[in-house]
Amino acid sequence: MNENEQRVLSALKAGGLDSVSIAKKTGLEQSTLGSVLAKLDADGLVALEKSEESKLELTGEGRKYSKQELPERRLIGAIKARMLLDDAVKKAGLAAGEKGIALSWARKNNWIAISSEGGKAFVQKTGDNESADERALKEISGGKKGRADVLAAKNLVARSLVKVIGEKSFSAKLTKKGAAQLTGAHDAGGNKGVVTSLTAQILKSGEWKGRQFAEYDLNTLVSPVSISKKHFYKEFLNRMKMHLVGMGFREIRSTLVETEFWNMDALFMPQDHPAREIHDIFRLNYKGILPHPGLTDKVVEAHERGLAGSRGWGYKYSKDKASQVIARSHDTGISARELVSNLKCPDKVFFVAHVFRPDEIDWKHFIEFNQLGGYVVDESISLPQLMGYLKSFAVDVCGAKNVKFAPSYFPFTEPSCEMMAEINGKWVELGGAGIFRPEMLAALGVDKPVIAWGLGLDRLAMLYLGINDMRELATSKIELLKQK
Amino acid sequence: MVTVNVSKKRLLEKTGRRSDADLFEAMHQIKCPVDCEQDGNLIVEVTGDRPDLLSVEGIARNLRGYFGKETGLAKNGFANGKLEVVCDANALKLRPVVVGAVADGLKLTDERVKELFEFQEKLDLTNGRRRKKASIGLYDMAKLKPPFFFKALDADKTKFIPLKGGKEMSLNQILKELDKGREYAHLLNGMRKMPCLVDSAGEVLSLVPIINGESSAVTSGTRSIFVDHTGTDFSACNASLNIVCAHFADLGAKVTKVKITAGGKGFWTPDDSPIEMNVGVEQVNKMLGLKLSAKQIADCLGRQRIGAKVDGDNIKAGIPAYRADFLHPADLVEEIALGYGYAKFEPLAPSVYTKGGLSEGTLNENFVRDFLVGASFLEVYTHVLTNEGKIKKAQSGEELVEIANPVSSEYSVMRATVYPNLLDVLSKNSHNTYPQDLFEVGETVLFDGKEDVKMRTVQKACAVLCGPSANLSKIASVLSELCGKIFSGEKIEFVKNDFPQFIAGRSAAVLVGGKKIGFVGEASPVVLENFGLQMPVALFEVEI
Repeated sequence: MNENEQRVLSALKAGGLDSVSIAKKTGLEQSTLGSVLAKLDADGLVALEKSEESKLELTGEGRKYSKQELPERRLIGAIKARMLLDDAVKKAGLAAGEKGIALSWARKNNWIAISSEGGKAFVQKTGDNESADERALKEISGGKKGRADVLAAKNLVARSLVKVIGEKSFSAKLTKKGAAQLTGAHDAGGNKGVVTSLTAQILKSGEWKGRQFAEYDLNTLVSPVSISKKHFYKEFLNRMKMHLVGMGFREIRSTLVETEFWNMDALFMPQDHPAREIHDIFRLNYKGILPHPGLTDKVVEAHERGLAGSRGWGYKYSKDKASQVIARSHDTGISARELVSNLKCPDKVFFVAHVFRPDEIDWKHFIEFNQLGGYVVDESISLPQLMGYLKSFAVDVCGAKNVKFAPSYFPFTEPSCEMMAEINGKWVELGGAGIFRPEMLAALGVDKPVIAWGLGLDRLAMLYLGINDMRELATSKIELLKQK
Repeated sequence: MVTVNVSKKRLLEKTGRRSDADLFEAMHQIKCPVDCEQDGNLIVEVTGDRPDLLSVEGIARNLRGYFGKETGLAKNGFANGKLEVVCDANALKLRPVVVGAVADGLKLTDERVKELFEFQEKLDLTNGRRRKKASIGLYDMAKLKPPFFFKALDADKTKFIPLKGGKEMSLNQILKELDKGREYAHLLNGMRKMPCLVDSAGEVLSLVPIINGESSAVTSGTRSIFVDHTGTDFSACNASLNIVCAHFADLGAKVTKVKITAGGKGFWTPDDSPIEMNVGVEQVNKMLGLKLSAKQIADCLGRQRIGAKVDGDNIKAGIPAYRADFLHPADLVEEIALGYGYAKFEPLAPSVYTKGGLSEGTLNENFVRDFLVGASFLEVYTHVLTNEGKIKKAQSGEELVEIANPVSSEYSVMRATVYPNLLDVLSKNSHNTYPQDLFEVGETVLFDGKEDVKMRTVQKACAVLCGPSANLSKIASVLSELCGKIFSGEKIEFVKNDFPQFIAGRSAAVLVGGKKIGFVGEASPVVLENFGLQMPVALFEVEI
């Protein structure tokens, strides 16, 4: 008999109790208590009475749908002849989050068939019988309850439209065998009983001497425990950081919001660059302050007329645009700030930066994500060196088996390259790098060659953590947080 | 990256390859990797610096060089032609740059015309910056009477039948009623007179940069095309015109220059003279870590279709006018690396010694994470972007850092506090067993007029106790212990302070060495109700 079983038996000493009272008395979680009672019942130590009466209650969403019908019903109601799926959704007046729900359940109910033609999805009605979900929703909103409804409503519970109030409850009382066991265990005065729990009192009095200890049943030794732990994604990021530190890189941090000046202008990205358009950057309604004229004017000159033997972009630079405050849209601006304020040679720097970019929100895209980037300052920088760094990131940090290089384009580096890496048998685009452009370095007053590099983190994290949906990296599911 | 559709069959024909065995790898190596293949078409991703690769002709031209089939500058020297475009000063005030060319002897098919329009659209989008900097017009010469005029015409009185418009419309009507009109109307914002090209018979060729006239539309029967570029930037227009002319020349057409006359002075376009740029052998070898001879460097450039002459220790390069991406000799160095082949480089293992280390921020963060996990809190990770609704539900008094152009109302604000996100996580776990004790260490954004970006990024630690026995005393004990560890030697005080999110009399401001770093308290039942929580919550949030 284990500790928990012993506690339950003791709690029942004074008479039979329901499970809530037992939990209170023993301090055990309901989930643990269930398995303990089942074991005691099987051993014939307690008599268990289960009552499965549960109450069903509509959630807020469930109440809404019981008033205005389920999304799939509204969808099927809108479909007459074969029509464009988008039109049907619009006609049904489905809210943004409801389209997926409506489609998936209408399909499961065999109400619709979807086909595609010329890249467009069409939908056709194939039936509209009242579904089990609809029936159950009606009954529950009508106030019916009971065991049969629990089964019918299982789906609704899974859809978060209905919740079960009141767990399954048990009541238990000691059997004769159980009472005898309990007496035996606690019969510390007599010499016949076995000791089930070694207590401070027994130790102090020396009563344990010559007594037998009850054996544990190793088959029922363990029960689930609730643990607290660090977040899997944060730990992944930390492991990446430790790898970089091991390679002699020092970590820096910067601000989540930036001016366009530091985020882009200082990197010699022209102000009309396509990546700077309104749909690619999150703006805040504020204007920031540009750095001292000595620096700002150099950047203006690099853009307008060119520096260090460059032709420049040949356009009229706008300081107003430069001062626009934005949510940091990529991590390279951090390098520009650090190169200006803290230039050393040689130097190896890295950062894990949270960045923001308007995008679709789905399993592989999100509007904020993390980038791992950095730079290397060294007199002898060359393209093969740059590839060497990238390769060691792939092999030493990410455990890649093979790497391949191809040219690439970043507005702030020349030459530039990208790397594909073979990880767990899959070729993935892992990162890019290049030598910072002479115009950029000259404007920032940097007289040494600098390699810039960056690796995408979120896709990599998904690959390593076995996660299929990028949004799960910031999961709200406590079960998943404990399990991963 | 811009995506373009290319027929694989045409690409193989144009490059003289029998199979696609090494085609995909070659395309990856010249900056136009194939994303996928669909029904004989390749979906190609072209890097932003290479608008000349946005057509099958351009890709094939570069590939012929890469495979060594045809190297060096393409022979596209264009002769002066017969056509003149006379520009009115008023029209040039509205759109200052006009250039053009004529392509004769074309043999088109429906497929070629479709390719041409797609090519035009991609160029307008990228190099032309959505038609602002440069926009392209294509017209059937046979249907027009030269010379042409660039004029500013009355927006209400001027009428013509726009392409696929079906009826005669005024310029203003076009901007209001047609899709293309609405899409680009902002470029002609409120003009009473608008820039138009007309022929000698008074026929309107186009309302630039919006739409062409139906009467001069290019079809598969067109033999001779007039192509114009109008815009705000001469080099962008000229480069794009050269890209289109090179495309026509590769299609077998005879391209001639057009005379542009403005204020009595005329000049011939496009300017197709190669861009001269020099680079030293030593500089090339240093950047590429190679030991190439001047001759080898010239060969590499030739494979990228760049003319190169050896001049002692220097290479004199002649860059084709359709390449607009050369600003500095560093650009030539990359071109040499491409001609050499990125796949042939041997990566050099890093050998520079520097001392590594974590930032102060990460060291603090990890210290607090270790502490709180040890105190039985489960770590969560939530987003920085959140929404006003969530913050209001949490009754946080923070000033909102709003995104001016959010893509979703769910994510319209940058967070200044972390605890609303943790309450949100709790609200999604009411089906799980309690207690649910959670924490997050994360970045927040706070207004600060002293910063150059007007805001300060602050790392905060937030922990919540949620369960039958959660209370202020318990959470404050954890916080006190934590602060004692982080701020050892400093005075830590809990000062009576009411907050809207907490029960009155059950909260405090947290001061370290007299400076306020955060708050601690028992969440008000109103807040709990807002999040659908039926368990007490006690929490703290402090700057670390």
